[in-house]
Amino acid sequence: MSYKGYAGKVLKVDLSSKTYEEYPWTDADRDRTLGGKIMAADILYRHIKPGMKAYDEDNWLVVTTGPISGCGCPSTSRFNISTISPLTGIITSSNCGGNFGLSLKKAGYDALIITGKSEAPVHLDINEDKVEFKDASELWGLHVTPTQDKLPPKAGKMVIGPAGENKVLYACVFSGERTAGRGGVGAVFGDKKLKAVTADGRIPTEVFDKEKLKETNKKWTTQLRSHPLTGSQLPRLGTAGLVSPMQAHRILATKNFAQGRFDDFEKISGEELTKNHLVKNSGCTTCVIQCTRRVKVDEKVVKGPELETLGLLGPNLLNSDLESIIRWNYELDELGMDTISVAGVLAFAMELNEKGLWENPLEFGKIDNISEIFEDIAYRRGIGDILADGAKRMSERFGGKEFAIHAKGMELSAYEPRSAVGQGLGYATSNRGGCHLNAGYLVVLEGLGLNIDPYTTFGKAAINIFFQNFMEAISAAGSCLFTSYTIIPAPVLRNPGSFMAKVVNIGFVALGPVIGLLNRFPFVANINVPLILYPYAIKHATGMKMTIGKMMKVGEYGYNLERYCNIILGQEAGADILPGRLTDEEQIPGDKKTKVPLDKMLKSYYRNRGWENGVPKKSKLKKLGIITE
Amino acid sequence: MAKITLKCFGVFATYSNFDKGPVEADTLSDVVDFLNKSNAEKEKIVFTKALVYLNGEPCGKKNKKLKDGDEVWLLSAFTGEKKEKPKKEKAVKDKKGKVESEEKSA
Repeated sequence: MSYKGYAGKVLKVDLSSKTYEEYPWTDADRDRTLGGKIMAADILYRHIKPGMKAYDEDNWLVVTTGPISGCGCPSTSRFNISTISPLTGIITSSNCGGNFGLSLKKAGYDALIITGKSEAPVHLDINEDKVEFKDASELWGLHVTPTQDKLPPKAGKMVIGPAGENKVLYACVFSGERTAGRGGVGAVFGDKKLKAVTADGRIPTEVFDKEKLKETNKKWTTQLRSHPLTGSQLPRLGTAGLVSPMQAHRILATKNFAQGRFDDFEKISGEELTKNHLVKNSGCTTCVIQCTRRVKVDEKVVKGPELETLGLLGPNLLNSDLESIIRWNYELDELGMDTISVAGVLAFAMELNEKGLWENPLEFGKIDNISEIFEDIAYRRGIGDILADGAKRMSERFGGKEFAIHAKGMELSAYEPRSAVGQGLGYATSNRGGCHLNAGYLVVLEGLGLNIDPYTTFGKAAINIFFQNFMEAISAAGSCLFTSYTIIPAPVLRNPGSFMAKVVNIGFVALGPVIGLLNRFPFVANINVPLILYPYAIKHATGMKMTIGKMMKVGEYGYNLERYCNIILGQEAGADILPGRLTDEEQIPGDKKTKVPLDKMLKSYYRNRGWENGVPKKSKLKKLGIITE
Repeated sequence: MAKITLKCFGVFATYSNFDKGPVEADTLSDVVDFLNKSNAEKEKIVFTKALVYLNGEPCGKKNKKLKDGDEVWLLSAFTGEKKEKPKKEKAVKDKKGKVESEEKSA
């Protein structure tokens, strides 16, 4: 291997035979994928076959790191888990800020491929010298924190809770307090009887140019600390600080996405959380942003709720009791379940009950039975067994498809897209389903940072593609996606009412066609600018030639590759849809612009992507080197 | 003067002396003046630094006339104020070569 920054090896273990070996990975592979989720997609692409399912013995879990993780770069501890999702049947790539990835690199590996299934609960223990398959029968059944407490304290960890053991379709994997939350990766762990993975080592990461990297890291840290989003808003209020602007912009999902505003939003806002519940903020390893809230539950200091949890277990259930949300967040973390999907499922069940389609004990605004329902879901008891399968399957059984709020089977996050139509396009086209980040997170431009026209369709397809691709590459490098906020000019953010801000907001949309050209011809952006530090960090860490244009190209490869993997796994043309509530019902009755004009935007999106009805054309796949014929 | 309700969000709320309550004001500009008087020792709030909503709708006109019962929201819309850099002490030598401390902006 000539590149630095990487550990240099990929470990492949077989839980069935309890054996392990090295998986070949070359510099050409590194050049093509960078690392992270794109590396995982590449590995899965070589392996998957039509008809493969999440619980097949041959479904691989691929855990990957990025080249700038472990190199002293700020906010770069992220690792990724990709697999066939039991919730959606297609690839899910779930990102996590816990310390497992850094520890895996120190043990000498850039990635871990887990194959096969164990007959009995197993704890996979990885260090520099050996890999052990330890008996995990004493861990099986434990909640997330007690499980991690029983593992070597200094090791990086990945564990599941009872929800994963019982294969709740949206069970997650925990690493410390951080989660690989979406898509049910925890259920795949559970299906393989894999309760825990630990990694430990002392191998230092060698970098290409130590002095230049140190200089870049210093600039990057200063940039993050001085930017209004990453240096002030996120540390002070966390992602919870988004509740109020979401309310103002009518994008706070309320009553199962029936509305975009909640009268009692102040009671569950980030301001309220900070004022009356915050103990301190904290963050992932290496992070300078520190957006996590720490709060008290039963006198214990624990991780507090993020925006998604606040919004979806609050307004979306017509619940204004912040203390209940704080407690539920803790309970769901201990059981090991995705708060977004749980909340989406509960809201759907409430509406099914309200409409007389399914009689169940769940009602909007009623909170006294929710904790019990969480336990029922985690252990698949009673109605919990139905709720554990997600909103899509519930709608197939009970009806109500138009208000089962999911995309491709994965429940949507908290942004109501009828007042942020670009986000709606992103939700529909996101490879893994209803994910705001894989969607391109356009809502940051449509009201939560900039204020571009949230209802116009002009330029949205091109802007979506740009951010989808670029964020793919950022994630592949090992960086937290919040670091990308520094691309938004600080003076505009500090003066949102100024003439300059108005010009930027109008200009951004007007530049849509130009951004479209940039997407098609990324070599035009084969430059570097001081504002965007990723290419410098990658170059100085690895020795790899890197520019903004190359990052766009790598991201485009990754996005198309994941999409093609989904097609191989059976995703049909026309799968980029949203529920009828979001496309056919006006958020504000009588105001025609307040629904997502998806069909119109999809035409432009597919044209820009080189896809046909959601399927990459052969010419596109050949151009990207994904297929040869 | 109109009797309105003012609500501040974002860092305005958490780092000012006023987060919500009744205010008397003729225009949106008066509302900002009121906040600056309440936060005399803190960084001045400038109209363009906030997203201003009047009765739930965005309103960028600082001379907009208010009426009784109006509700005004001031959001620092996912921005945050520019943080004052902490002052560091720097050791310097006086004329006699004795080390003294001097405040210096970082």
